[in-house]
Amino acid sequence: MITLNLYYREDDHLRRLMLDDGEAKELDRLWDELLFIAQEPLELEDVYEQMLGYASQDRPDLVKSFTPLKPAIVGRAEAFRKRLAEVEPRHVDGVVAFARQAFRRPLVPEEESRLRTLYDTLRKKEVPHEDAIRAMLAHVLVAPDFLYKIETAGPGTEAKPVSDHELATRLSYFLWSSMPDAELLAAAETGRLHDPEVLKSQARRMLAAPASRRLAEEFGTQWLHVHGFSTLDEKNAELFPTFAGLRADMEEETVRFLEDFFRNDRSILSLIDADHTFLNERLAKHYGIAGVTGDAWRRVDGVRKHGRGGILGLAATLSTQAGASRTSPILRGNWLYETILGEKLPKPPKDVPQLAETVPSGLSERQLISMHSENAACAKCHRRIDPFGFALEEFDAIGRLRTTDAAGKPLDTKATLPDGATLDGQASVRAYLLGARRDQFVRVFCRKLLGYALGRGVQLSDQPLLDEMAARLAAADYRISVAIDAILASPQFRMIRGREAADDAT
Amino acid sequence: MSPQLSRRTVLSRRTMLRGLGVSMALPWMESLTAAGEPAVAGAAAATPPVRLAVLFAGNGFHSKEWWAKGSGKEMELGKVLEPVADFREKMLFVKGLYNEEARKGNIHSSQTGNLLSGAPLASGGEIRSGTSFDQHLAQTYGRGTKVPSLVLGCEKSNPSVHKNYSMLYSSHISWSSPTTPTPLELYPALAFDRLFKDESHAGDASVLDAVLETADDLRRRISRADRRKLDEYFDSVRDVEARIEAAGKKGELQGWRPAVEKPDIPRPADGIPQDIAEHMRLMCDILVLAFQTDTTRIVTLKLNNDHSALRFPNLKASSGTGGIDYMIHHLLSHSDNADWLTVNRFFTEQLAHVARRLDAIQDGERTALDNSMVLFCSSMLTGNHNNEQLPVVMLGRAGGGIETGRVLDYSGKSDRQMCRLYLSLMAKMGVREKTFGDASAPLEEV
Repeated sequence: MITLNLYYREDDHLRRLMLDDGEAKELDRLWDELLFIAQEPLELEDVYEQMLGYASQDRPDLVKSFTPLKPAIVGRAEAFRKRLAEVEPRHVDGVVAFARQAFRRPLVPEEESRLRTLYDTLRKKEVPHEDAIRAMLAHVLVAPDFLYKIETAGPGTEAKPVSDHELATRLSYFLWSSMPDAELLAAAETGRLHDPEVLKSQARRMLAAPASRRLAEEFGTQWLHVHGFSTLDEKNAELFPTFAGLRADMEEETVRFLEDFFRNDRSILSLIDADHTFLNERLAKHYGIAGVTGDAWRRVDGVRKHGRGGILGLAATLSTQAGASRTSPILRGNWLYETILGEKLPKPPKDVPQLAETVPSGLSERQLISMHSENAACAKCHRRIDPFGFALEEFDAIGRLRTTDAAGKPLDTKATLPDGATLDGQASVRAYLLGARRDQFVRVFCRKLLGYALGRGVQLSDQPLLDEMAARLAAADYRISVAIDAILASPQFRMIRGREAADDAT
Repeated sequence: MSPQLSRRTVLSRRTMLRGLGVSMALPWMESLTAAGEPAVAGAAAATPPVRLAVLFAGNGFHSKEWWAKGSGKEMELGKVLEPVADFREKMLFVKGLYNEEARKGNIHSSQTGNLLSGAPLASGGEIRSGTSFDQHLAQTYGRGTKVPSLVLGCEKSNPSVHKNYSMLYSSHISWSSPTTPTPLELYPALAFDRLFKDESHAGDASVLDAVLETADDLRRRISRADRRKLDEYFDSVRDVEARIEAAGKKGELQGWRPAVEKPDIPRPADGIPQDIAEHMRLMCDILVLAFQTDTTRIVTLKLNNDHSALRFPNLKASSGTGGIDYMIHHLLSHSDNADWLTVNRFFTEQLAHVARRLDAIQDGERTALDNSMVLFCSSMLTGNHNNEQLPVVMLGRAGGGIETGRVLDYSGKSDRQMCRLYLSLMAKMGVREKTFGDASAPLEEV
């Protein structure tokens, strides 16, 4: 049996029994829209012609029954062709509107005409409509205005405020790592975004939105050096068979902890001394914390006693700053000293022998490190970093609490810093960072956040702003919104240097 | 006889040979005469071209088993090199070369991104190396073929930061400019397409024209720092434009006609093969095919990254149970154990495969291997980050330009820069530079 129907619409029962008038109308509209993809009226006409051709050869009887169908089929195809031609300009308009979104600003007249000319030129060369539309889209997507955050600089060397649209882009890429949404663009459109209050309230709205998770994902993980942790493949699978299956959870904990920090306007100090974290059952088990069941993530309080809460208790940071088969007090200490406290160490001397990947028998891990660090040339730096690492030795190479080291020797987590402070375990590091080093920790955090917000290295000329941030934070419980507001209000964030200003950023 | 007709004759003959189960490529001379082409001006013009392949293996080799001594047939080889023992008479084992700039950061990433350029590497957030010698050749010698060079990889690029150096340095040995790592092709199917697919869309050129139209206006509006970035972007657009223009043209300069005009292997399946052995083998075959069809004369194949995370379930562990997938390549390199040696040999087997296939292709009076230079190297001698000297093995004679079957030892000598080797290799392809990287003279012995 041969049928002429290419597509069937079988939704009578659905329509009759389930849908109200509005829904039925929507269903009709969707079917109609599908025509543009299926091109069914044209296909049907084509099939009809072929069948007729076949029938006319040896089935005159069929020709007879086919012929009366012709006017309807051809007429429908004609009408559809007309509709296709009618909507062509709307597709072109659609791409122009898309370009506005992609460029994150209104188009200047030349840009719009360039885009339309591209279409017209191609059509004149007999390129079909759809291909010409594709070419327009390709043009938008390879245009530098889409690929780069382009800002118009003023003449000379003098700085000037960026435009409202440019400001919207700066804000959006800072908080969301993505383009402005409709509401932010609308605020820019009205020309009021540069009003400090408007900017601030947009920032509040954006921090509360789900997209602010990307501030944790991008800034947060880069700051802690755990970006892309879920793909970290540097553990000895024989010693740590569970690690590969936990990596994604470890990264997720880090992101959720920081997301909560930004979204709920927490204290910068809580990054060190929080008593909560975010867990699912797998990770809770890894940490030895009872009472968390199922895959779902939840906030868990009272975790400090398990060594959790804050960046010093994250499996992601503890594992990253460790070796494949054993911990590395040197890596952890160096991370704290350079990344968290922003200190600089000279490069290690050349030709330092590598430490054994596994601890030679008879030695504790700490003894192995000490032998290495006692070398006079090395000691200068190691006495500044190793104590932090020794204090954190209560965590193994994948971040679990432990009581003996990988060589089976008892742990020794006591250490003395060059300033005389004594450390013993993670709690003492927390206390030290928030005591003697509080201002330094906060300031380094602010410096990293500022650099991320501006998308450039922080310079000497930024010091007054960092001073101001520090002062305002101390007076406001170190809430993160205070630091963000200070950045948003700064000339660094709101202005652009003149075209002829020197191009070296450092 | 019209050229078209005679070409068809050649094809049918080849088809017939295949039909008989004889796997034999037609020697180029034969196909040339049979095609009835007008005589080429001067015999030299019909000389097969010199090709360069660079095969890179990250993390160095076994500390005891990378060595060669003696010469010619009597050459003895360490276990890592045993898989290429058949080619020892076409081999040049070069000992003692090093890269001064690569010794400054003391870690994987800082030792690799400048392996082929000898340039200083920027640390911190910045990405800056130097144009690598393979890409310098691509931008000169490579202009003569349809595809200037092919840059292949079997492990994806790593964008993270390690010890203050971007891991991009560990993932890219080919650099088109100091700030542009040459894009790597990881997908065998796309590498194949890059060689043989000429499809470009009707609107492509117009799309790029419209983009380039904006260049002047844009440059006027933006700051100096942004201008630099934007110029790089517009350069890349012009590059694509040139590629579209070149699509469909053939690399038949110098009157030389390749033995095989069309791919003789099917287009590989889409996607990245899950099996690392298959992935490497496919990329090696594409390398050979690229030379065989003269689509390009310069191929760089990064078998893995430095600081590689590849695992090798396909290789048997010495413990007798399971494959060598209990540790990633990088960690294994620090163990320096028997399994590390097995993995090393797996890499040299890829080199052997390339050599074997090239050597089976009759290419003028010699084999394609004789007319090529296949450089096999790493960014450190052993897994312990030791790059006081670099492991270097070359196969092939550059069309007679290199005397092989020898061991060259530069250890202890001054001026033992790796870049001197690059000056020598570039000269074999007619690109004579006075200086390159940190070198100002080629190695006389090469």
